[in-house]
Amino acid sequence: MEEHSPYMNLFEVRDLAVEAGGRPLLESVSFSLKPGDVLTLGGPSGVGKSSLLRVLAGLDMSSSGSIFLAGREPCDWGWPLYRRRVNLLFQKPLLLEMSLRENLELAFAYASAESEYPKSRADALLHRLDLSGKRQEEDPRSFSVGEQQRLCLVRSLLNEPQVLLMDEPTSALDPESARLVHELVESERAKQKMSVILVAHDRRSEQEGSILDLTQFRSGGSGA
Amino acid sequence: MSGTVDLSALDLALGVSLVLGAGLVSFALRLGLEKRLAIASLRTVLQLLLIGYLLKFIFGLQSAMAVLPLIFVMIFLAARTALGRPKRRIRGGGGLAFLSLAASALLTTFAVTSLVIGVEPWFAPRYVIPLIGMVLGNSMNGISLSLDALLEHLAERADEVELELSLGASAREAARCPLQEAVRRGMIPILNTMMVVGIVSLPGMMTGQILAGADPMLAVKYQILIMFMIAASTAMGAMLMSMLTARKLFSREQRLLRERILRRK
Repeated sequence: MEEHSPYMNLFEVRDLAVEAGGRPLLESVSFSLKPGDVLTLGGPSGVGKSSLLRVLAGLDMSSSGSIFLAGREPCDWGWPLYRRRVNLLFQKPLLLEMSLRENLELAFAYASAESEYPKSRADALLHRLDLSGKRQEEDPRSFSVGEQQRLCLVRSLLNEPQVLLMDEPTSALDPESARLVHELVESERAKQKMSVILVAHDRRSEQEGSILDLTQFRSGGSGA
Repeated sequence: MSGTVDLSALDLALGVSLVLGAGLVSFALRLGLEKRLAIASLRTVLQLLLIGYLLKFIFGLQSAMAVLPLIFVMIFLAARTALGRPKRRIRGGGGLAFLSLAASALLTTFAVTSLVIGVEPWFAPRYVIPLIGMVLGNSMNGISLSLDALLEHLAERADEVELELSLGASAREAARCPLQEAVRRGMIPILNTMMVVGIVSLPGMMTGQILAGADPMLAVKYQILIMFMIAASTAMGAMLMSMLTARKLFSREQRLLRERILRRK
């Protein structure tokens, strides 16, 4: 982020085409975000919101178009580092079969890690999400769904993403968990100038920010 | 000890009565296995007679040009069999299985025949063919189990692999856990065998050598060598197969190509 002027676009998508299972869904998707921006992806279900998020996260490839993070394409960053910086918080909480601590430390064992495991920050985030009562040796897969998703958010934020992608992250959560998640994301956005792209079906987003209706990018073939 | 008692055709015909006994059991218990038993017995006789004549012929030639094609065919058949069992497959898997089996079996077999036993000439069929056969038979199972485990993990736990990728893992890092599991699964049978060899059963080769009149201690020494060969080649084959397969399942952009994992019809 240091190398990046706040006036420039942090994240830019140009003419992206998205397909799912070989079927074209979206074409010419273009938008840009400045640091701290929030963008909500809208449109009817099946339009390709989740597919677009997976492409932005670098888990699926687009058939054409380009993505720039701080002016550089993912392959210039190296895909692993790009994925850390444009991090996807999955719709369903996904924790590996290991202790809470190991789940959090996981990302810092990879070659793309730029720092040691930030223990004090982890503790602070766990505290903010009301998880500090949990023992670090516990298997988090026994936690409630809400607690699991909060833990996943901690794990994502420890990577210090510049763009956080969220696919209906609170759709399965109890109101209290949902509130905690939204509050923390909002404060990280304000403090760290992290940008947020989210899919929210449930209600109009609690977040500030603009809505990008994907209907306008629908591929000719699949249009209603 | 002198050689073995030869078996005449009549002796073998008497052996048939043993299978008839098995047939009677099937009949009495209504297992419905009579037909399959008959076919299996016939195949046993035909296949073994055929390989007997073939081996006799090749042993007679004493030429690498006769031994090598036979080895090639053996590897080819082992690769095909190895791919027949896993529930999932990938395109081009046959080539990978052939490559893995060829590399692991040839390396271990020729290392042993040339460096350990010191066989002259290097292709001496009497040593090379039975040894590579035993090695292949076991590596084949190892590769099969490994492939099954790897594809199962990458297909059914794809979200966990993608989670690791999204947290910054390289393809190699994200594949580490599935790979470990795959190679471990491939090694289990040979490890089990090695744990109980000689206690629960006497290995076929050792039995054969003893029946053929060899000193039991010599037979044992060969058996030990063979167990180690099998272990080495199974480990190498399972590892190669898993690594080559994993390479095909991650793209240049280090993402998981789950669409390449196909279900067997």
